[in-house]
Amino acid sequence: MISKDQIQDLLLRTALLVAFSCLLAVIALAVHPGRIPWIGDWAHHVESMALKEGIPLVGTPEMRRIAEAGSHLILDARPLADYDAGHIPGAVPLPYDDLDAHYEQVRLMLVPAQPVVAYCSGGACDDSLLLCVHLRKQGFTNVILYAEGWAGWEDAP
Amino acid sequence: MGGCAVNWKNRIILLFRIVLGIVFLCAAVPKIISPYGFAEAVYRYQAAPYFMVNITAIFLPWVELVSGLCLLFSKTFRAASSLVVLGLMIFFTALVSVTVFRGIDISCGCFSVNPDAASIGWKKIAENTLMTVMAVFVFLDALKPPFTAHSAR
Repeated sequence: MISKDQIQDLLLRTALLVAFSCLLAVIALAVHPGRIPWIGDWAHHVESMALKEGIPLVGTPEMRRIAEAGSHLILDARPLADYDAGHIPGAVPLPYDDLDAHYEQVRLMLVPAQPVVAYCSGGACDDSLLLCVHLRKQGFTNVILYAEGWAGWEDAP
Repeated sequence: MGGCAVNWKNRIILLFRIVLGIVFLCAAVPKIISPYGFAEAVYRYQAAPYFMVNITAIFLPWVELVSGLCLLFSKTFRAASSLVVLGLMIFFTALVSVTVFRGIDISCGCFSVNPDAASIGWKKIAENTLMTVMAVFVFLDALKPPFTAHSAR
């Protein structure tokens, strides 16, 4: 049976261990060449990564126009189960988590200048961004990203 | 006969402790080398509020490193480090389980911050569960008196 003193001692040592770790972390952060800010702009991470990659972004009103006009091939980068549960009208499934199995099938619909727009769940989901990067590496130049994704599509009035 | 059993039990606990210590060291180093890469890994779990992503990426690897080192080399902090390791293993197992259950397909970010590393799944949950069980045994063993320098005197 552990006494109250021993529990206090254990908790004190645990707190000391964690505090020492945090102190080392602060020192390391100050001298690390790849240091990061204490608080990052993760709310717009996907958008900023897209801009860094040179991939144009499209908002929900423009996405609605694209879907209605049928001017772009719309690619759904979410898992197939999510696509089956609901998707943007006219979208073709190309799940990024199983790209090898589905890519060849979709590639037949693509020509290099084909306008393509990709989306996934929205929010923190970056599968559509990774898909856009992959498509550009494959030589498809007219690729845009709908970063608000399915969540943005559903939430829009 | 009884002494032999105790000896074997001690050896198994020692093995668990060494395995956990090395696993925590191996997990900490890539995250410390690449804080941004690890922050991205934390972000992909979609579990932490945005303001906590970098803070987690800054502190967690050092807690893992110091806990791993203390588990391997410190008698004074053995019980404390085994408590931290147990707490982290319970947290990691719960986080991975919830993420798999939510259908979020991401790499673990456990030993590599590469987003193209193998995705988490039932295998990772099983591995984490096994290590959590090991951590329970190590912690319970560390609690046996004398479990601190103070009580050892």
